[in-house]
Amino acid sequence: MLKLLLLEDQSADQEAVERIIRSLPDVQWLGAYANPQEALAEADRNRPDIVIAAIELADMNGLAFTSKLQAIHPSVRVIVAAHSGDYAREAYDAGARGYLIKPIDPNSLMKVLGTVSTLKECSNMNKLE
Amino acid sequence: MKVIVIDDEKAMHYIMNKMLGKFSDVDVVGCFGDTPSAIQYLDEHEVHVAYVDISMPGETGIQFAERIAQLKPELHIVFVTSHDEYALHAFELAALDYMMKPVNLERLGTSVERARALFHSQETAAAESDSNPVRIYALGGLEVQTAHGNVKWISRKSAELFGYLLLHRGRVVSRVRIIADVFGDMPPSNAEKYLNTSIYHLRKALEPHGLKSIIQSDSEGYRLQLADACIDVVEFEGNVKRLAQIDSSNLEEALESETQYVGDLFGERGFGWALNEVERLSALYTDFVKKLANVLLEQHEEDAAIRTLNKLFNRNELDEETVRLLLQAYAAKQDQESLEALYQRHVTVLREELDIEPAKELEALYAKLLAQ
Repeated sequence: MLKLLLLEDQSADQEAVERIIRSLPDVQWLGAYANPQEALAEADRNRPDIVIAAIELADMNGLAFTSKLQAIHPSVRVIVAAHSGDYAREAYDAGARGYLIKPIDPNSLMKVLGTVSTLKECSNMNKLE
Repeated sequence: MKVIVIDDEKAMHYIMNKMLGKFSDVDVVGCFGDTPSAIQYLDEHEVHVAYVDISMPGETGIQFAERIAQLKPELHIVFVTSHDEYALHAFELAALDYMMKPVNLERLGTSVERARALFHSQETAAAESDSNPVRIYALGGLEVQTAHGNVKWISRKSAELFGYLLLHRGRVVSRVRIIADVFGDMPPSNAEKYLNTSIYHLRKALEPHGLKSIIQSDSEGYRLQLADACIDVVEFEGNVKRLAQIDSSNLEEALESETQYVGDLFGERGFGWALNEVERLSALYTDFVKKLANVLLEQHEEDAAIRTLNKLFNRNELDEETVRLLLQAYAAKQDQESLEALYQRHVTVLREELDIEPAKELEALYAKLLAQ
């Protein structure tokens, strides 16, 4: 099982991602958080394998969140999401492994999940499974 | 970790060589001015990471990454460029990293760390699979066993897909054919998606066993590539071929081979696309046991003959030849009770299921054996 957490403050986008993730049999939904601090706290508690982080947030830039999360938990794979591809280069700098353009559709989400879980260093993940 | 640099600027070869040289576990094995010379090198050498410039005369770094993903999917690509507009494309190509020129040592360090983590997990998996005997049991079910225990199938369809690729092992099966055979019961758009998910589940399940890379994909389809796995059904078939003539010299071996067939191919899983193969193997087994039983009777090994023939009888109570052999075995053992019980059972089943009487020859044989 892959544990997935979402950082997103738009409720429509939250629901869209949750619906797709819940339909996948081998991904465990850890919940959606609108606040980066709460998402970090949840990441400390439940150690997600994958975090999807929206870049355009009211409180904090999702890229800053990504850098911070990568510094604390380097094995978590972060997929960022934005309304355009404008942040792609910065997303690489922040340590993101995947990039989604909103609105998020099931096919591109599944494709990027496949990519980030092949691109992986998480020997700790194997133990969790 | 072996890395190469591809950049049309000679100065970059020098810079990257010097910077990457600061990481003790990084070995720069080549610097190339264009992609064809790099591909030629990659063909013959093991390389883990390629640091690739994007705008080059001839093939661009992006085109190279697209091409190499098919040829060498295990090579990690890190783009090193003065353009930032290709970063989104780099994500689509699953590039490991994207760095801007001029390269700074700290940023390069983060990138090397990222590659290192991936490299080590792959090394471990590879080292494990080298000393990792894989046993695949497809008779009577579907199990894959490694030093780490049994592979746990994540979904029913991913197990089915494994069974399917196992039958076609070593060959690329097109996506279209897989969809028609395995996902034929659903609308095409869902089937495509379901296939992707199942492949993903399958690799996920194989990964903890260091076997993720045995499922290979290209633009055409998928292939199961097994280096040296022992597959029970392959062994069984090999033994049956080898034991075409059974006599006292190889009787032990033949008895042992018989026990390999613990059930029909894939057991209760009943995959529709496997029916012909299930039938073929079942017929192979039946013929083999009958041949074996004949030899056992000649050698006066009645107990062994009865044991194996009863397996056949349980599989098919209507088969006349099985009944004939089993009657002879009971008679040789002078076990009149079993002789009568078996014949009565056969007669009952024939009447109930086919509404016919036993063959004249069998009736005569039974009368003769009973009189002895």
